[in-house]
Amino acid sequence: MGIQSTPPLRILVIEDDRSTADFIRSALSDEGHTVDIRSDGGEGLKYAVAAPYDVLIVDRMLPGLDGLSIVKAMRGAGVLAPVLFLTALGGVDDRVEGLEAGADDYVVKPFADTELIARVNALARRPPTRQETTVLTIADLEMNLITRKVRRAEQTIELPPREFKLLEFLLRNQNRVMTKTMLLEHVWDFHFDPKTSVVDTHISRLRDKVDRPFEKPLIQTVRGVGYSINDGQ
Amino acid sequence: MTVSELTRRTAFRIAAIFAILFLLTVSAIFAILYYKISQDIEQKLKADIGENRKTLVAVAKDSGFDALKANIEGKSPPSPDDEGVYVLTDADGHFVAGNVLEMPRFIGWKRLSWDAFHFKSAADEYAGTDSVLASWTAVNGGFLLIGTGDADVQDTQDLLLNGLLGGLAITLFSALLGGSWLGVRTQRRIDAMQTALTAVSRGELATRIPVSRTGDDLDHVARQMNSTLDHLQTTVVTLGQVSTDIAHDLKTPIGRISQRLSTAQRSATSVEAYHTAIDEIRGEIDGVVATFEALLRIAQIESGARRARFRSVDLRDILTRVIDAYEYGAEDAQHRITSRLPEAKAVVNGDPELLVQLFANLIENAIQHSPPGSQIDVALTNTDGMTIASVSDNGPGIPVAERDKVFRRLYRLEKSRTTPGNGLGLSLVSAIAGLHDAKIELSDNAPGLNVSVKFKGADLPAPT
Repeated sequence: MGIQSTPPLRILVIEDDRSTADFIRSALSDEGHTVDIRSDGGEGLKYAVAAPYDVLIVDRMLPGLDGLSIVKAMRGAGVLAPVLFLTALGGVDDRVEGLEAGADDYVVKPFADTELIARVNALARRPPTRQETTVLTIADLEMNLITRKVRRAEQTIELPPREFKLLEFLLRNQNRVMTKTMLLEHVWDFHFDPKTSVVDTHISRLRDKVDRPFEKPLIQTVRGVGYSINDGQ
Repeated sequence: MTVSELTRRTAFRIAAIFAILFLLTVSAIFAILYYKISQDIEQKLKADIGENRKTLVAVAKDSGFDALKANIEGKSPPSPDDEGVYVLTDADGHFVAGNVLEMPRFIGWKRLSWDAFHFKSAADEYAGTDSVLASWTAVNGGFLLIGTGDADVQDTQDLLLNGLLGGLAITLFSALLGGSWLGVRTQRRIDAMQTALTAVSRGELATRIPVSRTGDDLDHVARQMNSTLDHLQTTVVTLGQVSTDIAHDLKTPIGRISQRLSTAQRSATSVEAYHTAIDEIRGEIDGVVATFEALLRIAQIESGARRARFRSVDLRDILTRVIDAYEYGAEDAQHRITSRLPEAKAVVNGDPELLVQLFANLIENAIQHSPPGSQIDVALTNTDGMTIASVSDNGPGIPVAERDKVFRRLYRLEKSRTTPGNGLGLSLVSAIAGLHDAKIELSDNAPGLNVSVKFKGADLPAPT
């Protein structure tokens, strides 16, 4: 599929449902990643601790040892690799519990392959220590996080706070596809699926200010997946 | 009803216990009365004898032993009119005079049987029904026995005993009568409850327990049971309704998926055509998943476990975030969102994530169901410990008759069947409000709909 280019990753999937596990393997292998699958919780934990993986995908409900305990035990054993937690449909508390246990992100089952890939890629690229950046740039666009000024091609662009936050999130993850769900979670802190297009309406306003007056559009729509900001290289 | 069945019934037991208690109490009261009155009468008898003795002792002292002897000899033998008994002896104890013959001396008061007396002649022979209370006393020149039959005491005692027995009989009778009346009455009401509950368990959900007008504890229990039955009936009916609605709501998209698949199989010739079909089918499946997600979410919220994560939340922040997110969406639908938020904090105890969803759903509803050019107003007031957040629009509103139903799962107004949505938005709103002990009120915005969510205000931390 290749919705974006990412260096190959070693990924461990701890998931007991064969069909879900195969679905994950197929989606991530197509992206060029190496995928190991363990269906038992205890065995999965042994693998996670023993081998260096770039990303771990852990299901909430597992035979042997449940997902929360695995993540806690793993963090206790000093495993720092990012963890993507798979939660059940309608599991209102699963997200909070997963994050509290030490997971870095979560995705609700059933999920689209694009959602999974976008999240895994975002996790893998997360810098080990968050560098204090004060200026984010892409092409001729520049965002100053201290003065909260946005400039493109020497022109100052006024952005309302929410659009500023949206652009900042896209810039921090530039050249990567952000799904609508990811944007809703990180920019609005919405953890449900709104019926109205919250993301689309804001992207459209942001484009009016950041892209439309200029020659080359930076914000790209990835159909059926989400948005990304990239310089087209 | 068998005897063992009867004795097991609460009402009978209570009646029996009360009857026994009454009997014991009445008996105790009578025993005390009997003892006291007997003693009193005996004291009076003794006092009478004492008076008599004083006179006779005075006779012996003033007029001499012979005068006393003459006096005693003049006494007529004991008779029912005068049960007085007199015996006079000399200093050596030999019989001198009396209306009966000699009698051995004793010290103090003694109760003697009439049989103990010897009469002067057969004609004198008298045997009062009762005994004789008597005592010896020293007189000038000898000893004098004075006694009298205690028929008065015995009569009184008999009267008392008769009274006691009669009283006991009446008490027992009324206790049994009252007890069984109460018992039967209570039993009938308990039987009515049993009958009603049996009917309910047989499936006649509308059956209710009859409530009398006495307002006693049984009525209280009956009313409580009836309200539980109301709740049960609503739940059962709703559950049935929900499963039917779920089946119906699933049938439609699955039918469409199946049709789309057939069409693709039959007539799709290019990869593009298949892609289009797959995209459409995925859209339908996403809709089904969203319906299930919402149903499960509602169920989870209703379980109440989420309350463990409650914290102080300023509703102004929640509403600001929601309005901020939907402002553009409303604008694109040619609506205008206005807000009136107070200066002061409006703190409630709650789950911010769910509260955001609650108000997001209300605002989305207003956006979706109002014609272009509508005004959506979000207001927050904080008065008397009540925090009221309201979302109103000037769209078509909801008819009064439908207002209760819109919170039902999967319920959709006929006219909104064509707009997107799964009929779960307001159910979710209702579940979240319920979790927060908040009340939702739908009212006419003339024109349009006003939805108010009334929170009990949390205790505000003291301003620092």
